[in-house]
Amino acid sequence: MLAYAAGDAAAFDALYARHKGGMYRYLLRHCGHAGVADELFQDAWTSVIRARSSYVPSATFATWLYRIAHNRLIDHWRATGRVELVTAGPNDDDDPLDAIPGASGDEPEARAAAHELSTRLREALAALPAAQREAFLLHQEGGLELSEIAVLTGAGVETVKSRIRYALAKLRATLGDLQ
Amino acid sequence: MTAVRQDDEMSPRDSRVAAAWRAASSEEPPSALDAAILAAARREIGAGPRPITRPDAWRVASRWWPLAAAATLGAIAAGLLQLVPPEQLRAPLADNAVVTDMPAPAAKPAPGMAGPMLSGEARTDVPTAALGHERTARSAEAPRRAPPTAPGPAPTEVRPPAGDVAPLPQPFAAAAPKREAPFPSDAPEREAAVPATTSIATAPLPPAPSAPDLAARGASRNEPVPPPALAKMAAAPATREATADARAKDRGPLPIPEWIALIRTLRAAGRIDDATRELAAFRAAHADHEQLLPADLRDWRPPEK
Repeated sequence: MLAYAAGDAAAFDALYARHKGGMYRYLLRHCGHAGVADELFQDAWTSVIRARSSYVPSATFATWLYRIAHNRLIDHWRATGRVELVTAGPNDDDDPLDAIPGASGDEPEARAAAHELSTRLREALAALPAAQREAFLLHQEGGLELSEIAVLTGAGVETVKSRIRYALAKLRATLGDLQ
Repeated sequence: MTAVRQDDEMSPRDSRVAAAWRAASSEEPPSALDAAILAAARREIGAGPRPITRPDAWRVASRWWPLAAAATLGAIAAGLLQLVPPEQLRAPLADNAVVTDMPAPAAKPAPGMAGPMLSGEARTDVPTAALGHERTARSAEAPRRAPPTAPGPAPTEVRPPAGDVAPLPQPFAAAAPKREAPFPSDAPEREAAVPATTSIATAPLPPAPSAPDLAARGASRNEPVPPPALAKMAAAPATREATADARAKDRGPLPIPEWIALIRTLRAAGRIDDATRELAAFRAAHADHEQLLPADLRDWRPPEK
């Protein structure tokens, strides 16, 4: 990002190629709609481009990038009325994503035998509470470490760890039903 | 690193879930979206301020500097040439043309002559290098002299009276009475061995002869004069005496040492009339001529004819 801030267009190309897939899937899994994911994705990268002159490396680029995407998601949910609690407090449990309920009637076990693996996994992920889904996607798609996810979400490391553990357990259960 | 390693160790992982997730989740953004974002990134670089010390930009800019400087100099030179009148641009060429069109001078000096500079015949035998030196000296004195008022299109260079005698520089003025010839005696031979055009080409540029000079030479020698010289001679007096009178009238007062040297030279050459005329002009120009003139000129009276 520093190279791009100095005017190196190829540096941005490399950054984009490295992070575009994970970030897109992160947005798509959260919002569940390709058109909205496209819009949020473009909006997030536009913010990255505009922030090039003021970019200060305080964390890894991935952490900074997914923070932008996370904030765009919050703004989107706030605009669509899905999130009522958007103010994060010092308590780890105050993450606005915690207020987002899982999709009702999308229990992974109910559809395990009839769908392919990938579909079940997506549905299982969609059935997760938003905080668990957020932690899992940041860990799986963004490649962020626990500490980075903790900083990004405003939660503690142990909280992030437990969220991921819960998410993995549910997804593993989905896979177990299929096999 | 320790924290990261601890994170790695603490991080809950499930290889089976991770592999299944990678197989199930492979969506990519549309290619149109990729192109739009990459184009926006490049636009942002092109529109944003660039560092001043960027080396490649400096190199590209400096590549055009010599061309821009040459174009500027060319434009200035063309403008100056437009400002200079065309007559001034052609004047040196015209002088050269007149000089190089002159016929070759006579090789042998006139017998019984006191010096090679003292007659019209001998004038052409003076080495051109000496003439060039003389011209330089005279041009340096030009601002001190009165501006010439000679009519006609001839060059307005100040000439000595009688058209054939060149004023001597200061060292010559002191040495003139003692020497019979102010130049080495082999000068005429050298001039005879080398054609006139050659000596002009190798020596400093001699003074361009004025129309009266050409007229006097042409009349005295009865030699054919090339057409460019004839064109300048059209408005000039026909005889040498008339030329000398006109010059004596038109010419301003000479510096005192030169004037005295001139009178002495004319007298020594036997040109008593010219010497008398110059002496009278000197006395008319200087009220204190009795103190200025040396004894030999103060008491000198031309012989009765």
